[in-house]
Amino acid sequence: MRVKMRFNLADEPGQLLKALQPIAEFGGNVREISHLREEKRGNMLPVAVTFDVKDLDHLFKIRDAVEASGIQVAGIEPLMELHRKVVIMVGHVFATNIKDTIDRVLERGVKVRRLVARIKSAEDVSTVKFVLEADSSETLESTLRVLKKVAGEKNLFIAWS
Amino acid sequence: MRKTYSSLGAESLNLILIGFGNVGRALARILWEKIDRLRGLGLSINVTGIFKSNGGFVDSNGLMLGEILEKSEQHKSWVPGASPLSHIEELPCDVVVEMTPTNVRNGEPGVSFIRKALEEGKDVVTSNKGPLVVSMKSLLSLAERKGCFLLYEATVGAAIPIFTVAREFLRHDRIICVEGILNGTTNYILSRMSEDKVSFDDALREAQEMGYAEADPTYDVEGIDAACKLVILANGLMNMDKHLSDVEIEGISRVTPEMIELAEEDGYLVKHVAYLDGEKMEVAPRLVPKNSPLAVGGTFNVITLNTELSGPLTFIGKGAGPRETASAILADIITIAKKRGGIKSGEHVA
Ligand SMILES: NC(=O)c1ccc[n+]([C@@H]2O[C@H](COP(=O)([O-])OP(=O)(O)OC[C@H]3O[C@@H](n4cnc5c(N)ncnc54)[C@H](OP(=O)(O)O)[C@@H]3O)[C@@H](O)[C@H]2O)c1
Repeated sequence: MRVKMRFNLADEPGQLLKALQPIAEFGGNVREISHLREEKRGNMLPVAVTFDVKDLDHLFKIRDAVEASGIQVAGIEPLMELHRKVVIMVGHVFATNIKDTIDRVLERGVKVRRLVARIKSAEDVSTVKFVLEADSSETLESTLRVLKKVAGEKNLFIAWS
Repeated sequence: MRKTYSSLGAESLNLILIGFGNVGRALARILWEKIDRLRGLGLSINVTGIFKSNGGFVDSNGLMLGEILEKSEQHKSWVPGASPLSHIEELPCDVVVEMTPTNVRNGEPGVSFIRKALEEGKDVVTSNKGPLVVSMKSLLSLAERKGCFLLYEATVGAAIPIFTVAREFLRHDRIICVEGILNGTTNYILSRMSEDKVSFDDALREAQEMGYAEADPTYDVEGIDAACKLVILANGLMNMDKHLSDVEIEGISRVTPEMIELAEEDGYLVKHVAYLDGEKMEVAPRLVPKNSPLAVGGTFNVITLNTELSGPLTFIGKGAGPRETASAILADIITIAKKRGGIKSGEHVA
């Protein structure tokens, strides 16, 4: 899970390092650091650090360690991570009950964000792109396994990202 | 007790070449061209036998490669009907280089040649996937029992030094997964379809005209060649015991121009990707981000090793071609000479 932690740091050397050290030490994977200079008040500079943690326990452990080092945590917000996968199918995608194909994706809590189809004629094969979104990559991987199986059953040719 | 080749001077490294087609001839030419460079390394190479399907060139004092390349079967050393199997025992020979056609059903004739060479205590270098796809584990353990080398760098990605990197540089590390494009013909077809909007059939015809694809392209287009290479990677890099039947294979013959177009709208290229990890082996058309290291064009091959300590390592190179393949074979021969003490390590020629 990805979180953004805000600190108000005195704008002097070494302060940011002091905040980052406990995060790194406890295995938080830092993704982004932003200095919010336009929000600076007096000598206090707000800084936001985005990092990944395993779970809430892990997060609280890091927060406690940061505060124990004398840095005030001004706020924590969870960040929604959106995972995305593009799947393209070629074959008689419509004639083999596309609604059933989509239902089997939706069943797994995955969103079909976009669907684009290229159709020539009723007899010809069509090419259909599904842009899938989910909040975890595991969900997308297991959905892909389902789609591969569906493609096998319906003799559809499939490529995925 | 390991044998050693003496360096410099009187004694030389004796080779027998089996197979004198595209690769065998390119190797003979390179050995001929690079004779001074190899001498500079302290390596003097003698070829005592070269075998084809209908006979061989034989001279226990060393063949004149330049003359043989020119005169072929008119050369005085030509012995019609000569078989490598008996000559491996009789001719002076340290390393047998096996370059006969790939046969993925039973690995023959390569398996018999390699087995015979190892049993006679000869080191072996091969460019032939067949024997490895069929019985890599048993050939490698025979080599180990006999205290011989069996090197096969040329079988995957031609001159891309993937096994050498793993053997020499990643001994301490762990390879978690491998992905790559292992067949130049299918990459050429997909690149043409994407860059110039030609149909699959036209791109295939073109690949055949350019000499990239065989008259029967099934082996490439249906992913069997890539799957064979994936098997060799699994066994060679990750110490597995895999066979062709362990690979899920989907070819590219059903890729449509519309599929390529729809992929491109989202920033992807359609590529024929081989993938391998501890659980799964797969060759399939995949959507690869345009800026991915896997997005190589033309007939290029690419291999990415995802490792525990070294992170991702990506290698790109010509995946085929007689000279590139022969170059990998020669590199393996030099590795053997070095390990046997024939060349001082770290020596360079300018
Ligand atoms: N070409 C490449 O770019 C490339 C790249 C990587 C790996 N490889 C592999 O390297 C190997 C050689 O490729 P290539 O392109 O050189 O093939 P090739 O041109 O078909 O040559 C094969 C050679 O093997 C000989 N041969 C066949 N059966 C034999 C037997 N029973 N005893 C002795 N010799 C026999 C043939 O004899 P004849 O001359 O009498 O027909 C020919 O000289 C293949 O396994 C191939 O897959 C090739």
